[in-house]
Amino acid sequence: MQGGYMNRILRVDLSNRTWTTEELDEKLVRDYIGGRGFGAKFLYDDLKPGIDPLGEENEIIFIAGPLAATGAQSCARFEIYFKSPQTGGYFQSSGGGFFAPEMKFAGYDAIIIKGKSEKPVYLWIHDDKVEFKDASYLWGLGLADTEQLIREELNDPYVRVAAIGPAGENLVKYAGVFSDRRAAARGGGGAVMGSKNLKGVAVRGHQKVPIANNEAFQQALKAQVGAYKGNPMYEMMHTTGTQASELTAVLGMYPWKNFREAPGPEWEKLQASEFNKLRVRKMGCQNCMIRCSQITKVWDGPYKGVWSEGPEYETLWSFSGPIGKAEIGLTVLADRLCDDLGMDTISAGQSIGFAYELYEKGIITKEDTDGLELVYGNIEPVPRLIEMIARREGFGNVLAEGTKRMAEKYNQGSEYYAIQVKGLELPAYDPRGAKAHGLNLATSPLGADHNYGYGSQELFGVPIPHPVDRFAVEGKGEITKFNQDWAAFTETGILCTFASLMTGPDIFSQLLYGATGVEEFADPNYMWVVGERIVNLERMFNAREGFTREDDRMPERIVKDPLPYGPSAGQVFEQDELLDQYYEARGWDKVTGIPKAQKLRELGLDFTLDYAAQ
Amino acid sequence: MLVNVLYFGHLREATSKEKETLEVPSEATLATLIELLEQKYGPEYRKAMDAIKGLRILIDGRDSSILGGTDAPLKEGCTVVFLPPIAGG
Repeated sequence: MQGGYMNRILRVDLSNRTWTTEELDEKLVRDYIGGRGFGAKFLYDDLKPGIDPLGEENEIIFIAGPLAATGAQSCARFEIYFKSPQTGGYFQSSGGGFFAPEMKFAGYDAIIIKGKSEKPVYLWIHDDKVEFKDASYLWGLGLADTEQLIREELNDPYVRVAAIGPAGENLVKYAGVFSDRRAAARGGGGAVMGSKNLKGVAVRGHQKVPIANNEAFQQALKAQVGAYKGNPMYEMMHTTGTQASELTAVLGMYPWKNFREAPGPEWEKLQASEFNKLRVRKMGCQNCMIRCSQITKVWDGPYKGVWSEGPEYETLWSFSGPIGKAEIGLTVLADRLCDDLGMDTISAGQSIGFAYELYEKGIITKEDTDGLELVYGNIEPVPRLIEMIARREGFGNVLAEGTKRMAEKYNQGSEYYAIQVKGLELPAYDPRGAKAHGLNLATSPLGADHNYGYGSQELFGVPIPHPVDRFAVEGKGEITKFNQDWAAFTETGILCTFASLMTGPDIFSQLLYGATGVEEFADPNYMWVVGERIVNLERMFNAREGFTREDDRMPERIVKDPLPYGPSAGQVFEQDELLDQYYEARGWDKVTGIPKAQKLRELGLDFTLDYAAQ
Repeated sequence: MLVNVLYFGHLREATSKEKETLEVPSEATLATLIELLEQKYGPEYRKAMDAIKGLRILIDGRDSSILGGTDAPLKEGCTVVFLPPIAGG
């Protein structure tokens, strides 16, 4: 390859402490480009169907995109790929920071890790060397201490570390992987690392990322920077980041009390103007001018002195909506705790909120909760519960399993209001108020992941490819396909979701072409096909595992219970009609929800045909 | 008839209000409301509105752009939100 790529994959086997490298295959590059394309292909090729997500055969794959460390804006994210212990299916999760560029400097596009170490280890990857370092002394420590101690041991402050906290070590189903307080949090990648006794991966390198066609690349980069500066989204993201409750609140989509209600005026305590009072500093990922991240500090009240990098929107909701109380200080503390203990805030908050409803209904009592009173509005138990989850102490051991398994444990009809799809908890948007956004949550192979195909038309009013009415059902299959294919398109170069709308397909394609020199990448139409190919391959991974249309079902509360009041009052999620539309738009079988052979052939996915719809 | 209006960002500064309830004629459209706000708060209101790139105006939670733009009719008790760009994450 001429540029963009380091042209090298590192494969590590923790069971026998060996490692090998291999060159990138040219056909792989042309067909899948990189980033999510590589992740999906590696997982499909490497993992046999039916393997235990927490067994030695599962892999945890770190990927840096072909635009990381090239100078392209907002492409420094790392992604992890694995079979999820939370969903039992394909999973990819994305985190920001500085880890991906350092992987490239060390000379790798991907690090693929399998096996299980006998004792806790961390990997030390520096240029051409790979070392297995003892991590026994790090086991049990939080993320901040872990990263600091590794840097001290290696005597290099510029080492980048992606690691797990106690939640990952204790196999919490939604434990994440963290680096510089940035999280690839969803789906349980941290538990996969924990199951391998892998505390972290430390990288440092000194290579330069080659650029194939510098003139074309610089021209595209100039266009990207210009597009940011002229876009209102840039100003907003640069100023407030995502710390704002008002968008979903005024749409009637800020879920309250386990998606039972729309919020009353409580949301006003978490609007952007309230977080303005707490912001002390801005942070950003490597080579991103947006700098959307915010350091916040609580200046008074019961949480005085607490600080965090965040909370982002999802987190400020996760520790207000599910428990029916908005206390800004708690959202900052919960964010900090989850970041240090190493787990996903969405699933943690939702699991706690589900327990509040179980408690209200008398399905669980103080006997089950170690004496904690889980009454809506009582926020006092929340920090304690977060610690208990991470360490699987007492009732925390139940919460650590997530809402799907909690409903299976307690039964009594609680599955109706366990707010998850495929075992992954819904994020901070009530899908009854935005049908395409909801359809993405239902059909994503990851479970209810918003970034798999964000409904920006409905949420932000973005008129691309055309304006939509968020309550309308008609046409939402096509829009969802568009959003999902677009996300896959941009994740080939691991462009940040926030930046993707500003960058657009033409500039992004030119950046990829300029960096790599691969002529096909200059054509956005080619890129759209690759996006669709990736989505179909991910679907086929799950089809091979036995997933069908049944697994695309929303919780019954979302389908049957209309929102009681607010700007989305009366809305339900019209599941059957929406799913039919979606499968039709995709060329998938409506009965099973599995791609048809014709579609797979059209996309060059012939190797998956054994599992195609009959 | 009475309509509720919510302001955010610079429009909050221009009006010194987070929200208010206003009386508008029974056949009022969004344009009628904007004119009334200009009368009430002066040309600064329009200036502040025009300065917000990507401003969305929601009527009962739906984008005015799909309800007829400034010709969108208002209803008794409806809520109009002037919303600058805001993202979730």
